[in-house]
Amino acid sequence: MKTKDQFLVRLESELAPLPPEEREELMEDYRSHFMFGLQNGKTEEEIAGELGDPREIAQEALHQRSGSSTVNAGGATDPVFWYYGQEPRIDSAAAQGGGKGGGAYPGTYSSAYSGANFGTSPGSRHPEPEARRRSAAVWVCAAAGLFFLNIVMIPVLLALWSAVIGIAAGGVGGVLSPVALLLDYWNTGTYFPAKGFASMSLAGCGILLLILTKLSAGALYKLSANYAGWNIRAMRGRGRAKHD
Amino acid sequence: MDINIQFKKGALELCALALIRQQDRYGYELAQLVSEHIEVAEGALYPLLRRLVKEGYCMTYLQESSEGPPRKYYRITPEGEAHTGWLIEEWEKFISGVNRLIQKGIQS
Repeated sequence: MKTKDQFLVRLESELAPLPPEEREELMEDYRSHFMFGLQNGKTEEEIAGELGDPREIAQEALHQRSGSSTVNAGGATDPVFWYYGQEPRIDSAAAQGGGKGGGAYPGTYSSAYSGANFGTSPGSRHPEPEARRRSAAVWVCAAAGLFFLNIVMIPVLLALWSAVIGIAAGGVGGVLSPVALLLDYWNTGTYFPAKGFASMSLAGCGILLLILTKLSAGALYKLSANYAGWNIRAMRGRGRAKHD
Repeated sequence: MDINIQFKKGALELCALALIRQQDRYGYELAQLVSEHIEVAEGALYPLLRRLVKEGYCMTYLQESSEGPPRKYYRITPEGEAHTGWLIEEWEKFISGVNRLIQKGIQS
């Protein structure tokens, strides 16, 4: 394979995170650069050597693209997320250098300049350990989806909770019914055995209702907590975020 | 070594803009002109030019040439003119500051 084709193929694959039309535009620049160079009597090796390392060029393209608008605290620039399939590489060494040496040009530039011509070895690259950030559009869609889901789900949960509160109130009332009977006797001085039996059965029902309350409240609490947790994870992104 | 790279990074934008300000230039021409004076990986120029266009400092137009591929020319915009002026000012301030500092170091 010829040096020129090798260079261009490598560059194209390194530029994969860019949107196709931008990538094609840049590729066109480099293709014509080769043609001009060859016209001026240079060899493909010379031209490729002058251009530098395709990987460094791609890094530069990614940095320049997200460029000055999104310089973050560390002086590094946000990577471009064109699709989720590929994790963009970030030259952390260069990013740090940009932060330190920053001054008038904080982090807008990356390490394309550290190519062979400067006689420096290319910096080590690690994938950014941070969780990936999502684009604003994805975030808005997630928020809208959750909003409509919650319009339904929150009232449903509230209805379930009020049912539990109702059962609990029934239980408490049942258990307290003998006390009510006692107060009744105190006030009126009369006692009907029917009332006594009724209050006994009410107290029994009340105890059963309270047991039911305890079970259902526990289950519903778990359900609500899980649902809230799921909401938060959905907003943070991809359910991959650490929790629990 | 690292500092040297940082210098060149900052300088490349200034160099490219200064050259385009003189007259319309195409990419290869810019690369040749810059590397005549400073050692730089020419590949870095194209992403930089893209950004300059995106930020409205330059505009591009294609021109067919009798031999070879069509040339993509870069022309400076009024904003680019102003930005270049500012960059040069900053550059000169910086250089003269560093020079004064070095002179002091030599004298004392």
